[in-house]
Amino acid sequence: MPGSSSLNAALANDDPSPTIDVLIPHYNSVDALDLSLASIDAQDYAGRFRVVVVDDGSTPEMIARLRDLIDRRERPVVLLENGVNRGRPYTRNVLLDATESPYTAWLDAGDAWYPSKTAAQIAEARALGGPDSDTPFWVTCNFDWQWTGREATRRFQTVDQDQVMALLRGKDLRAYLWTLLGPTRTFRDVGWFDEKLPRLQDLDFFLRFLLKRGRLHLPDTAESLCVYHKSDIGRDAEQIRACHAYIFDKHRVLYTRYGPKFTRVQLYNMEIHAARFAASNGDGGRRATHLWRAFRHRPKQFVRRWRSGGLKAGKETHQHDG
Amino acid sequence: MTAAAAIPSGISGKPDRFRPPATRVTLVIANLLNRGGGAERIFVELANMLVARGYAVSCVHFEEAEGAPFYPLDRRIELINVHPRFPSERRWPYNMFNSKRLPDRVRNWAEWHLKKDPVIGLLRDYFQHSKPDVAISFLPPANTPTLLAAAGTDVKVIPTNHNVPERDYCDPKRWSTNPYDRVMRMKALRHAAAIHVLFADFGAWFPQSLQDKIVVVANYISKDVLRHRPGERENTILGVGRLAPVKNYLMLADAWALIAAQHPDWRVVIYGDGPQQAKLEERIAELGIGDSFALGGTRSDMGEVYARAGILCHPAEFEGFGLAPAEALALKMPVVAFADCPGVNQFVVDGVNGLLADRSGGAEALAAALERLIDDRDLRRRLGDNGPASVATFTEEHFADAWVELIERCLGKR
Repeated sequence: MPGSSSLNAALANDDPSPTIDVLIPHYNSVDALDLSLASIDAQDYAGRFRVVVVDDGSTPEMIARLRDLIDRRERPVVLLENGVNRGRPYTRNVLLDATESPYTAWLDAGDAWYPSKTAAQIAEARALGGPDSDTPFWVTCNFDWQWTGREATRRFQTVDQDQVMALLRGKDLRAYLWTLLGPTRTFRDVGWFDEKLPRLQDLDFFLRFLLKRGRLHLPDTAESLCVYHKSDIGRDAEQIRACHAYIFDKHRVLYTRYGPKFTRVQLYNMEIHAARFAASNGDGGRRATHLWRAFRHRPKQFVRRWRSGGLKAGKETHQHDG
Repeated sequence: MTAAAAIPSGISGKPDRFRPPATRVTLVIANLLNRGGGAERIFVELANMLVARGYAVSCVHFEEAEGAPFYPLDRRIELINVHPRFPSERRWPYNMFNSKRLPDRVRNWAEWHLKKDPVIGLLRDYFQHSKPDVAISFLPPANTPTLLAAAGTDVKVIPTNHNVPERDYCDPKRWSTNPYDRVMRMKALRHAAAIHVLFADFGAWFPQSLQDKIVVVANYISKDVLRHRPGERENTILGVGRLAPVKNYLMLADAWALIAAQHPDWRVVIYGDGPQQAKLEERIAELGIGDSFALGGTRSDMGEVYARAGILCHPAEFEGFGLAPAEALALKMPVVAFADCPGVNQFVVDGVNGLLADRSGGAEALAAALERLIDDRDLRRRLGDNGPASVATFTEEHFADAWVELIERCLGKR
């Protein structure tokens, strides 16, 4: 299990503004990181942030720019470097291993928090018992989904439901780490991110959290508290599908216990989802392959969708994006 | 400003530094949520011990109930309920096999499969895809499905038996009234990598073909009890356990009624609750011993009571592991029980650390053994002093070591 750093968790719920570790993986995207760091600086939360950035083997030029960005900042940032590119889950494990504050929040380079996010989530975390709560919890939030070249749309996280089923469906409860704030111990207790998942390691991590008696909560506001800048360009459809399939195998019984129909629907969505990425990348052959597989899982629903125009590029289901 | 200095590459160390534990152990039990029984306690504590010893541990159960485990489960342990969450898509088999016109054997067979197969299927899904190295199942309702689900996979299954085997495998009223269930309980054992029992003579009950699989691991006395130090003894006869027919406390009341008048400075207190409470209260009133025979309810810190009381009387018919007598002996308290009580007579030795009465003598024999101890303070002290040594191996460390050794042996590492 991770971590040898001491956590002053016992006293943390008495402190109205405990220190929060903010964990950010970085790979060749200094401008995007700058945007994310600025959103941390703009938080109206009264407590201190300890920002940790782990660079995952960016190019020498990018590393130089990254160091320069951090040197120029007024507020300190802990920078760790993998040296070589070891992938997102490994980088997240380095981040998790570097935690030392009572609370932890996550952010990806390029995504941004709105100013009230931390204060709202800390208030909820304190109401739930703070870092020493008997029941593991994470506080998620509603968020804006900002597609390149389109208007942002608000996405609601629904927590009053069977959360395992909801995460597997990925429609009204999504496994996005950057929406979260929670006691550091609860992230550590989940264990390491699965390095076999270059994509969707968040979903696996969320499922394991729920299996360890964790529960997701929402702060006392329906407002969006962060924004996800989203694009399908360059995402490897095969890789994402392979990660979906890996999760399906790894957590098979979680799917099958909801019945064969539920399982078929998730497999169908997995293929439709992969087809979306293939289409965005202009790969017609792969798109056709995934659509054929989707048809085999749920022929009637596929035909219905096709007739209603729901299979045109860019219109397929938006599920977990990894 | 002042950013922390960039740490040179290589700080991350070996690329495999974040690998999860190599050996994965799954514990399986039918019902766990909201249950405070002895088997559930051992289940949770074994899981916690194994995770502390570096194993990746998950706990699997299958029940409709919602809630949480009564005993605290380490937060690093996954808890997975594999009870099907979908209505059966096929109702006709239930209707067809529910017919009274069918022979009992066919109906029993069908009922069993219709009830158990969905769970066995989900357990098999779990074993095939989560691939634990070892599965340890608790009690017959979990042993049979676990063994059948893992058959044909690489998962080594160790079914555990927490009672007298004859009761668990042959009693037509225990666990299930369906005779086919009893057949399957025994039949499934051939798939076991090892079969756990609490005492060696329990293992001897199993057929010759299974003898090489028998492994003995006794239960243990909690550290919470052992931290107490025996003090000045009071003139109290103690009973500790569920108020259920198998504990036979009605006979203790009868025995006490025979000798209570001769020992006005002694009293009997029974700690525990259960279905026989009302009947026991009625018997106490009938016998007119209410002044010296009390029901103390449940309490969490029994160690304090063991450290002060004079005699533990445990007239049970049978036990898997007589935890109350073992705890009493650990705190130098002599035990009175029946000589034929399995789960107790393995470690209570007549004239060494307690007195064992002949059950055929009934309440009179029990009263005679109690009276002998009441009248002889030196005997009480001598038997009590022998108590701790007689249960010295029933420790958490010994228990955890034995399980680790068993797991490693099943995996061919020892």
